[in-house]
Amino acid sequence: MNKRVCKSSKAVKIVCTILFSIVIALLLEVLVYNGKKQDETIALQVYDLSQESQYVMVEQNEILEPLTRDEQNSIQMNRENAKILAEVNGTPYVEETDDTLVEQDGKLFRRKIDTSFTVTLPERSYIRKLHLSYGGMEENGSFTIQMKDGDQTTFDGYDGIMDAKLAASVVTVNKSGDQIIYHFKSLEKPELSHMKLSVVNLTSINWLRILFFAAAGMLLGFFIWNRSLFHDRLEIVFVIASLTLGGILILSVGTNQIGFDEYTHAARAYEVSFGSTIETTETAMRMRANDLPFFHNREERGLVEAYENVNNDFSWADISTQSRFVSYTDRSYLPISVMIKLGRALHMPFAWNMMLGKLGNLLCYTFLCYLAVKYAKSGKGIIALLALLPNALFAAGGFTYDGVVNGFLLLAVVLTTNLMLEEDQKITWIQVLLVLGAYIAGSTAKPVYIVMALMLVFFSRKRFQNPVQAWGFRAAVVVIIGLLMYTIFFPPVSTSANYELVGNLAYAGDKRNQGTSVLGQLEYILQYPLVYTGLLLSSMFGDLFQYVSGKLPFFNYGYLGNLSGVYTVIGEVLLVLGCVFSPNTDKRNVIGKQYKVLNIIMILGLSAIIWTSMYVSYTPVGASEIQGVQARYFMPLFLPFCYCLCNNKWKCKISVVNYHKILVGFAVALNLYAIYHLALQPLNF
Amino acid sequence: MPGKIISHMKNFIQDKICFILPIITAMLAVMLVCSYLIPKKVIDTYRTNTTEDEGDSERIQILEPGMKLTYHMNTGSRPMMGIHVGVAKNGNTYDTAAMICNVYTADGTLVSGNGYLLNQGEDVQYVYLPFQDYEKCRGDITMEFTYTLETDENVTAPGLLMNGKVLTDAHTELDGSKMDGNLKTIYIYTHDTYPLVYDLRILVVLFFAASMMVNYKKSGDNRENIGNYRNHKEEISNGKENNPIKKVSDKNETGNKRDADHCRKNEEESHE
Repeated sequence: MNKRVCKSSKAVKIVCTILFSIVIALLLEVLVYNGKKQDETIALQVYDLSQESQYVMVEQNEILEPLTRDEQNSIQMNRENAKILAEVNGTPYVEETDDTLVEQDGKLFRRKIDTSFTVTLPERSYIRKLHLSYGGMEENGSFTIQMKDGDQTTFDGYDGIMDAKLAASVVTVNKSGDQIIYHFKSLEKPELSHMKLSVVNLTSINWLRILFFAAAGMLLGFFIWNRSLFHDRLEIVFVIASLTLGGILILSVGTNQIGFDEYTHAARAYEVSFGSTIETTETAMRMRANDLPFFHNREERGLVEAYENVNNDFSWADISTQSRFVSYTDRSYLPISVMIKLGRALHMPFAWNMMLGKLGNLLCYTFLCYLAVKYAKSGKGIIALLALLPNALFAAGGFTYDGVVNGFLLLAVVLTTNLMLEEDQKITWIQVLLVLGAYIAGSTAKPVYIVMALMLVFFSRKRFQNPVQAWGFRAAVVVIIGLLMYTIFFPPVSTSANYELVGNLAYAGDKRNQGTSVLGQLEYILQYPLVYTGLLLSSMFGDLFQYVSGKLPFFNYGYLGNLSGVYTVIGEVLLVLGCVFSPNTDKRNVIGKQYKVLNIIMILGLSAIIWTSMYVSYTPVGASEIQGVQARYFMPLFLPFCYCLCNNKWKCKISVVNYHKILVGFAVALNLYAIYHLALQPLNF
Repeated sequence: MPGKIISHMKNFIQDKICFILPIITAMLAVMLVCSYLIPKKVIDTYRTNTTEDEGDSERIQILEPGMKLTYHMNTGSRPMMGIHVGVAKNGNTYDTAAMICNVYTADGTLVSGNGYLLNQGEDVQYVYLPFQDYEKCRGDITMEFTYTLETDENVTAPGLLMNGKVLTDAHTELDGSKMDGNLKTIYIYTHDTYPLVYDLRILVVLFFAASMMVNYKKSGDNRENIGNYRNHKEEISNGKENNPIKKVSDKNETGNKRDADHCRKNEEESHE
């Protein structure tokens, strides 16, 4: 009877929390985000920019716009790659010329026409959105928007790109003023008769914003009311948090390509989803070329998704073929590819199909981390916190194999640590299959991580039945590590184009960066070993210090930006405290000292390998800095490091439930903040 | 029922693991050797000359009957499998005519004679001309393009796509005189690939590692115990054994807990 009452009161709490969260989210949307402002005098006003009038002034000038560093690098890189291709094909290299490029004082500029429109409003008004359109535009144009209230500038510095594919842009202003200054910069003189500017103050309900606040409210209620899951089934808590936060992130980002090299990963995942005959639609081709229009608010999102759907027509898709056998390099994309295939079978719109693909990645990551939290014999809270870090969820909810890599390696580290904790038990064949399988699956896309499996070699003789078994096992582990490391330098190439180029180490090097050469860099390192050792150590410990001190922000959402370094420091402090102290009611399993020392050696060794691999493959030969190393590469090493800090001596007066709530709660709060400020607000308001 | 099947399977695997893992390892090793011995041949394409540099433009070289357009090139040490050339029909509709491509080695030996029937394809199209005895098409080779006569006399001759690009190790001649520019081409080579090798060599080592961890001695002991248990079971069925408690504990050892619990419950009920 008591059980039944308890169950019904639980159900009432859940229903009340859900309803309360939805009501609060709706109220926020209606009253805060759509409430009428005092000086909102205009509802909708369209300005024809074709000629000067009482309200519109037009001026045109030729300007020189400096190229960004990325644009300059891109030009240099394309020239170098063209040289290599010409050399391989046996054709002379002819440099392409671009009349719009101007070089002044060693810097590159692009010659453009700056058309400036000064629009005077009939009266001072609050403005929510500005809709800019240029029907029939042929090339992308850049623009800036400034708003003035008398002499005072109230809105400044909005730099945008008007994509020719959309021929329109929408700017979220949310400021008052009486004058709008709109600069449109293009390579050719624009056709003014096709240009329009509209002031739009219409009410619009943002369902994504409602979903975000409702989900945040539900998570808060879950944290307040629930105890049993936090005590006994932390893995379920992780699943709820991971799917909720990751799901909202996926919905917020849509088809915007905001991850590093996301277009490459998206292209491979898309291709793998087809089997042997690939049908690449115009939209998919744009995605592959990193040329999909980018949206900054929900109005632009509507335009982008409409464009994507119109051009996602398979009746005129480009047909190409590939081997039906999924290469080892592409297997980490399978969770994405399967869901893209499913979405296509369900005739989903392009944007929803791609989001479903990302959900496949998130589901795979969540499942792997669920297993890691469930079967961990020590530090479940720490594992859940690490698995819920914003960077980890960002990778899991995007087009990248990092989610699969992180998930498998987290599971592998947990299984290895479990073996370390069972000091008095023999290692079984099933444990070997699982732990080595997890390391291999995690290292398939990034073979360098297989070095982590070296920890398995150091289990003592008493863990095995006999010396032959011990040495056989150790030899097998070393061979597996060797085989995977070998593929870094000598990949078992199965390409069907430019085989001579791909399989030739003389041309190896990351083609995204100029001046790279694997052989050249290795020769340089061997020629100056002490110089390189100094560079390596200063880079490793220099960057470590920068992250620890918060000077370099760790929490990052790709091209969407970072969370301030303050959050990095808070996260570090919480993680260290969570490792060092444990609840006094909990007897924590701790790995032996010898394993802690080995873990530290492995972490330092692997870090050095990661830095060196980026120096060899991504950095120009002989450079005095190591380029391309990102903090996310070290995420699989966090858990082994945390296990080194864990002890069973320092206790704090806190229950296991509250201990878990603090750790997971921090991760959830950080994610909600990051999603709101980096993804929801800049892309969907 | 599914629980019973899983339990049986578990027992079977546990019982036979000392055979299963080495057999899997050996099978994978055999497959690895086979995949090395039987490589997969894949096509390797090189877009040597398909685009024009600034100031250059694509043109069509008409190939009148009797004219010979030759393309001289060096394949290096690799045999060339075929070539893509751009064929332009100039708006004609053909019936029996063909574009012939003969390939000669450096010593003038004809190693391939192939053609493209002009009654197929688009007006302007890149066509693939595979070489018949392609293993011999290596080093300095010459491709000779000719046009066989069309029965309809009103139809004009087709052409091949060219541009003004200069190639360092190839040139084009028309009736023996070197031309400005070259044929637009895509070279088709081939190479061996071993798609299963990566997986198999890792799986072999992985299963070898797992095989190493099986306690073969204990498995042998287990088999002995199981043998004893079977003898014991036969004794029960023959009525030689009448101690139900022993029977329960024996079943318990084999891991069939549900059956053991069930027996124990029945026993308790009978005592009551």
